[in-house]
Parts: sequence; structure tokens; C-alpha cells
Amino acid sequence: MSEAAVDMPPRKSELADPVLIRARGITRRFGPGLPALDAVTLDIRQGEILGLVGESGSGKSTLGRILLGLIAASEGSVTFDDMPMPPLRPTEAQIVFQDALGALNPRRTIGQSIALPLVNAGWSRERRADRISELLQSVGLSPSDAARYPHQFSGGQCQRIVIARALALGPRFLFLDEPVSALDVSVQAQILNLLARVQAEAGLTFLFVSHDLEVVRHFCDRTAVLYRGQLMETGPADELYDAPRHPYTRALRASVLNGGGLPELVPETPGSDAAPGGCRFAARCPKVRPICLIERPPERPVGPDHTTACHALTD
Amino acid sequence: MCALRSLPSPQTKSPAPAAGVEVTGLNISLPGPRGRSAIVRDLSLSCAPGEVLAIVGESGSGKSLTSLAISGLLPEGAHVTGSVRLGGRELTTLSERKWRDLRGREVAMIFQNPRGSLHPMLPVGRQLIEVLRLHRRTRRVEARAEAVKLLTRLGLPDPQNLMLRVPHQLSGGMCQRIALAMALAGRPRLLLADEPTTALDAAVQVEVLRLLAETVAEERIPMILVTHDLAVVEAVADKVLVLYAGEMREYGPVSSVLQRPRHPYTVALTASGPSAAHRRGRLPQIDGTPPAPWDRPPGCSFAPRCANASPICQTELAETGNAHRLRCHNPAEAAHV
Ligand SMILES: Nc1ncnc2c1ncn2[C@@H]1O[C@H](COP(=O)(O)OP(=O)(O)OP(=O)(O)O)[C@@H](O)[C@H]1O
Ligand SMILES: Nc1ncnc2c1ncn2[C@@H]1O[C@H](COP(=O)(O)OP(=O)(O)OP(=O)(O)O)[C@@H](O)[C@H]1O
Ligand SMILES: [Mg+2]
Ligand SMILES: [Mg+2]
Repeated sequence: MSEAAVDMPPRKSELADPVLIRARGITRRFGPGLPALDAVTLDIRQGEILGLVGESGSGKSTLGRILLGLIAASEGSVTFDDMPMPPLRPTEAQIVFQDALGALNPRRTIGQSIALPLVNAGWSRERRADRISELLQSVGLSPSDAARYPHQFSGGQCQRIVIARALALGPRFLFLDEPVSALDVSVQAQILNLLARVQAEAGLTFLFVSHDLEVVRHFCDRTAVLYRGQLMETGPADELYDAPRHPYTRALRASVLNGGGLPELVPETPGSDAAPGGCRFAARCPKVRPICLIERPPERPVGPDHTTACHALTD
Repeated sequence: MCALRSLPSPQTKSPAPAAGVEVTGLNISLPGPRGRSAIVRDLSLSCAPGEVLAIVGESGSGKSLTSLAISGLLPEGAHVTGSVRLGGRELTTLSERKWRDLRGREVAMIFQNPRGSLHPMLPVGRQLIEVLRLHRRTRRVEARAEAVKLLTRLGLPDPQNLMLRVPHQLSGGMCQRIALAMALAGRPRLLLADEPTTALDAAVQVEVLRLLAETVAEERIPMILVTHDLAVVEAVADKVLVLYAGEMREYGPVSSVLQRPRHPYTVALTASGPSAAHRRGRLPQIDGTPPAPWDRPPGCSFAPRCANASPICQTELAETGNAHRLRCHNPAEAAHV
């Protein structure tokens, strides 16, 4: 079950690379109150792994679902390959969730589960069988595993099966919504090695959600940081880890557990959440200014291919 | 300093001083595809008041079942032998009625799947207020104010509005913190937390861990924390139990087990995380998977994946050590990692 591939050469995502998914001013409301996503503008470049981090409830899953066309945005537009986006076809984009066991039908063998997208796409029985064997092998399982049921596999193996199913129709884009969060470190390493290999082999594009900044730095080319529906910072993954600029990214970075006790955190500035027009992080921001409460900071470049939205970083 | 204060003080008289948990020779078996098979075998552990014991191990190693056994919530069909004692009381033989009385009030469990512990159709605020009223015998307005305080402390935005929503309208991490607030509301004497911060981002994780650690210290209660994150173990736990295929492999103080791991499995675990050293390279991984409970090999069940394995590992299991216990014939040198 060893990952055959050796070290991947460091990839680089360039500003000039063609854009696969272009999201402009995406807002999503689920009712009264502040929107779950607030005018998010983001490019996902062909062949890159874009990391998406942010606290729980910040809108990561919602953004991914909108990019896949699974739910509609309240405002804004998404294009895929420069085409305005109807719901994406399964041959183009797939999703992998954190809860792998929950994503598999317990009454179907895993062969049947993997076959489903192929059946829907009109594949013949023989082609399906070949494809299933090939997929199982590519994720480090054996073709004979096709006859077994989900509960007979470990969490890490279930995640491999879900990845195999996601790859069945050869999609170009995968939305990986915390695919390794539920796995222990050793299995996490297996899955990340597997994903890195299939990504490199097929030149796939990933949007990868994780809470683990170290995993994101390791695995991703670029990182985007969401806070309560607003994009705070976007830039090269190692820069966001080694030299974060936005006060929120800095707070996240300072929270990474590093073998000591619990780190001290930035003090929570008392006061209400910002007014709808302002920066959502203002209420917790150590660098807050009066303007932050009333006017949302625009995104500005702070380095090559690195932007942040913060009034305090303008001078 | 962060903006955390101690838990809102309860209206009821202060509960009895907490006792430690003592698990001895615990075996759990469940019906499986090849008949009944032993899932957790010969497990012993202890956790004193004010202490945090972490349980780590690969998915399927029996971490959740162990904590379910301690909280009397094992799935139907489970057989348990051995003993689980809380203070002087034996818990494995408790009737379901006694358990209902104990659970929530004395023994609180935070589940791996937080949605599962919330009623799907009721607004989460109502659920939390009910629990607060039940345990603290306060009036609704006071319970509501306490609920808001608790949720604010857990870093949830706009708690007033949030309390009106039902679970499916909340993200997983939000449900997790509501379930945590409900567990703490009863001021339990023993806390079991199964992956309580898996769904949380780094900053909120620190807040939640701090809240748990403070609760354990202030209330002098034992806490058993199931996690797969060794950084979490290092940050908050006093002791750690490394499980592999339902059996203890290494057990002792965190400073000893994680700083100087001896079992090859623990050594591999501590080396598996991403670090700056191998950025973008292939991560070190342990090849293969643990055996299914029904075809565990004799001897050491890690042997088939172990670089140090020798013939004796295929036939018997050795246990050594006292404060730092180890089951391995060929441990790693006690070098500092
Ligand atoms: N169907 C829904 N109805 C109402 N509100 C919703 C719905 N789905 C999501 N939300 C709200 O939208 C916000 C963003 O949720 P989302 O699930 O995208 O967060 P997330 O960043 O993925 O969080 P997590 O890290 O916990 O998975 C949350 O406030 C959530 O309560
Ligand atoms: N209700 C059940 N019926 C039958 N087998 C079960 C049941 N619950 C768990 N098991 C089996 O018991 C073993 C241990 O499961 P457990 O949930 O304790 O693992 P875990 O260490 O918590 O894993 P994870 O990290 O994935 O949560 C697994 O092999 C699992 O398949
Ligand atoms: Mg999510
Ligand atoms: Mg579990």
C-alpha cells in the first residue's frame, strides 16, 4: 500500500497561470442577519492546490458548494473555464467530505458505490469493472475489495474509497472539504501522499479545506483565509504560514500548537460585532481603527501574488 | 491574556469532590461479520481528579468504544468484562436506570459526532436552556443569560441569533461547541471528550482546550480526551495511552511517552506529521492498515507493519515498565526525539 511516487518537485502557482474557476462578489444569505458569505472574489488556477482555512462557520463549505453549483449564490457570479456556470457535471468536478463512512451507502458494496457515477454516465458493465479495479489500485486498495462493505474498512480506507469514487469519471476539479480532519496522523499522511500523487499525475485542480495550518502549508500552493464570510488574505501557502500579514491570519498562526502548552491568544476586544458595512474581524482585532467598523477594507497587494484586506496594513 | 473567565457559578450547592476513574482489564466484544470478536482487549488505565488522560491511536483502534464503555453507552450487543470504577463505584454492572441518573449529571460525554447529541428539530438555544434549568434549577431568564455567556465564552458569534437555529443550520464546529456547552452545563464529575476539537480551527481549538483544561483544574475532575492530534495531547494532557488494534501499546506521562517514545508504532506516529523539514515532499507514513478485529494475528498485532519485528513478536506479547508501560519486544532506543 506504499505510495510509489517519490518526492513531488515543488510546484509553483503563478499569477499568469490560466484560471479554472473565477468567483466574483459571491454573497450567500441563509436568512436574516449577516450573510454566510459576503462578496467573496477568488480565482482558482488550473492545476493548483488552493487551501481554504477559516474558523468553523466561516463559510468554507458554503463557498465550495457554490463553486460546484450545488447551491446558488445570492449575488455574484462563478465561471468554470470561462463559461458561466450551470450546475457542474460530475465529469468536471467532484466533492470529498470529511465523513467518509457517512458518504458511503452502508448497504452497497464499495464496488457498487464506485460504479454508481459510471452507471449514470452510461458506461457498459465490462468497462465499469475494469475502471473499478483500476481505481481501487490507484488508491492503494485491491480489486477484490470491491465486494466488501463500507463498515469492513477503517476510516482511512473509507476515505480512499471515497477518493476513488470521486476520481471515477476523471474530473478536473476536486473540492476536498476537510478530507483528512478525522484521520490520525499516520493515515493522514497516507491520504495526503495519495492525493498529491493523483493531483500530479492528472494535473487536477484542488480546493482543499483544512483547519490544520501545517497541513495546508505542506500540501497547498496558495492559501485563502476566510473570516465569518469575508476573505481576509490570499497568498502563497508558505508565506501565509511563515509571514502572515492580516491580523486574523497572524492570530491563527499564533494558535498553532507547537509542542508547548496552550499559546496565549490575542485579547478579545470587547464590543459588538462590526456593523454590516465594516470588517468582520474588527471586534477581535488588536489593530482595530475607527474606520474598520464602518468601512470594509478593500483587498490590496502586500507582496507578489499576495493580497490582504486590512485598513491597518495600508501604511 | 485571553478573555476567558471561569464558568458561571451554579445556583445549586457545590457537588461532592470528584473521584478518579480506574479501568482494569477491560475487554469489549461486539458481533461482527465472523461472529463475536474482541475489539478492546485487556485495557487498564487510570485518571485522577484534576488530571487529563489522552487516548490516541489509529482509526478503528477502539478509542471511542473505550470511552463509551466508561460512560455506559456501548452499542447494543456489546459484551464487557473487567472493571470500570469511578471513586468506589463499579460502573460496568450499573443498571440502565442508575446510568440515566448518573449520565449528564456526573458523567458527561462529548461525542465525536456533535450533531448526534443534539435534537435535530429543536432550536439549539432551547436545548441548552433546558439542560441548564434542569441541572442548575434556575429560572428561564437566568438560564438564558447563562447560555449566552457560555456560548460567548466558546467563541461563538452572535449567540442570541444562533440559539434560534436548529442543528442542520449550523456548521459542524458550531454544533460541537453547543454540545460542549451542554456537557459542561451539568458540572459533571467526570468528563469524556471524543475528538472535541477536530472540527475547529486553530484559534477556536485553543479556546476550547483552555476551557476544558480550566474546567478540569478548577473543578478537580478527571477528563479522558480522545484525539488523533499529538499536538493537542502535548498541550493539555498529563498522561497518554497509545492504542493499537484495541490494545495498549504504550502508556505513561506525556513528557515521557511523546518525548521518548519506545514503541515503534508511537515512534512512527510522532514522525508522521507535516513539518517544515519535508515541505511538499512525501510525508513519512506507516504502510498498510491495522488488522480487522476478527483476524488479528497472535503475538503483537503491529508486527506485520513493524520494522523492528522479530520472530518472537509473532507469538507473544511482552509488557514492561511501571510508570511508563510498554508492550514491545524490540523497543526503540530511549533517545530524545
Ligand atoms: N442550510 C443552511 N441554513 C441556514 N444556515 C446555514 C445553512 N448552511 C450553512 N449555514 C450557515 O452558514 C454559515 C457558514 O456555514 P459553513 O458550513 O459554510 O461553514 P464552514 O466554514 O464550512 O464551517 P465548518 O468548519 O464548521 O465546516 C454558518 O453560519 C452556518 O450556520
Ligand atoms: N456498533 C458497532 N458494531 C460493530 N462493530 C463496531 C461498532 N462500533 C465500532 N465497531 C468496531 O469497533 C472497532 C473500534 O471502533 P471505535 O469506534 O472505538 O474506533 P476509534 O478508535 O474511535 O476510531 P475513529 O478514530 O475512526 O473514531 C472498529 O473496528 C469498529 O468497526
Ligand atoms: Mg464545513
Ligand atoms: Mg472514534
